[in-house]
Amino acid sequence: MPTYSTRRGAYSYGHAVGILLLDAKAPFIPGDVANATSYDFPVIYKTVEGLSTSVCLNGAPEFNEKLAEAAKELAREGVKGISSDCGFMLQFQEAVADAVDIPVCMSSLLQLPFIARSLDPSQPIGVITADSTNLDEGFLTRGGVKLPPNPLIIRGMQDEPEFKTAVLEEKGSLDSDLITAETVACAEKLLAEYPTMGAILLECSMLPPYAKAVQDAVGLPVYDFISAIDYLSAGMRPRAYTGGY
Amino acid sequence: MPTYRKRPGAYSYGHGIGLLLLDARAPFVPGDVGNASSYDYPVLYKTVPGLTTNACLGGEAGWEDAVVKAARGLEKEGAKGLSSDCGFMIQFQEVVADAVDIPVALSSLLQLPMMARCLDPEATIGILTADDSILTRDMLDRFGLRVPNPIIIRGPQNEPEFNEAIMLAGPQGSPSMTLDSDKIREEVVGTARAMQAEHPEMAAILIECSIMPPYAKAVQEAVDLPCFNFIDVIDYMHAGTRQRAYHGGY
Repeated sequence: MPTYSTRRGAYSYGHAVGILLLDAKAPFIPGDVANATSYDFPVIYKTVEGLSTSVCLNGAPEFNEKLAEAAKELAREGVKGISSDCGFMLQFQEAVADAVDIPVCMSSLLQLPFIARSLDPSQPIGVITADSTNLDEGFLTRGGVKLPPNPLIIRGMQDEPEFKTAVLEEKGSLDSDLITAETVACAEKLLAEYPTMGAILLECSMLPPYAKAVQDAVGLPVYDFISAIDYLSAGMRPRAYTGGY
Repeated sequence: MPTYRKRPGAYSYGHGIGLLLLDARAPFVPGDVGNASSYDYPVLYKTVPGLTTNACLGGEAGWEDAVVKAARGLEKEGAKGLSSDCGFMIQFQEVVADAVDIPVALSSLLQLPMMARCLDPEATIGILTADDSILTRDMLDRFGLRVPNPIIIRGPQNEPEFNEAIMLAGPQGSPSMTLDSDKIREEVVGTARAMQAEHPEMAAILIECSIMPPYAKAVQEAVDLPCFNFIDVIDYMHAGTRQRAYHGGY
């Protein structure tokens, strides 16, 4: 591909995925969707001004247009796909997908149908979310996620002290050892209640740093927000295979 | 390191190096300093609005504040080191290094003393620059890059594709809005070969221009000499700011 054209609106090049960010004030640690070291490919971020965590979690249709505009700007920068740093951005999936011509995966929750098909239909799927008071089957359905036959067991982190104060109340610091313990305990409790559970989906973009600890504790497949973004990237940048034969 | 603090002014985290960009809309192909896929680590870009290639190469006065403001913005975002996408940004090296608390290497030219020390003092160093009518030995001396070695400086500024795609690219792009990397490879390699023909004693090449790393391998294959480019400086700074853990066997 020797001839390259200037992309109008692009300031730099080579970014694989564009990620729309909540206007949130928490530390985004390695493994977080909003930490650039979490990926094997370059990502570019754009904050949606005014879209705070609580506004997004409570539902904010008035932000549809702002999300679409931000997504278009990322597309102009040349990203090959668009995602976000909040599973509740599922509510903007349609608005953003309509606005741009590249693949859009706004939420970790979009993985649910795929995860369900990979399991026996009777096996429960555990969903660990930032706030279970705002995530129910109605939210999923409204967001266009077809409910699988599997029982969905949704548990939230909203009452865990460190998660609540660091992530939801944005106290300005985050103790990742404490959140590891809180997330693992939540998963262990889920498994104790539903011993036939087939997999766990971590909805929240701030939970991937703890996915390995959860998997080590429960021994089940664990999917998270990064697995959705990696998947999106894989489709847009197929690898060349150079192994032997 | 279990407790992390919110960084005031940061919207995202984990960026290794912050890169100040000229306000120039050329296509930045893989290997270019302005292309994020050129690195094995995350980089964060910030354009200095209005600082065109001409303004930077011409040493236009009055840009210090805008460059410092952009540099401080990248520091607030958590960049561990700063660089830029133009070797001529050497003119802002002092003012930016003074303004921020992280290491700064704004120019590929900063590696000249190190290259010189790796060679005999009488070994000739060739510098492949964007525009050899601007970069002079005197300029290198003024910016603190005095070396004992003979220096030859050549640029492809008058080669048709390089001139059209790079030198004429302003904030709205170039007249053609395209860059033919096959042609630029030929032009850059041709310039390097001409240097070597004129100075067969040349011992190494410093590739100043941020547009040229994609062609560094072709240059090296053509002249069969050590070649150092802009990405090498940025990789070096990254290595120092984020040490690796070693997991091999014994």
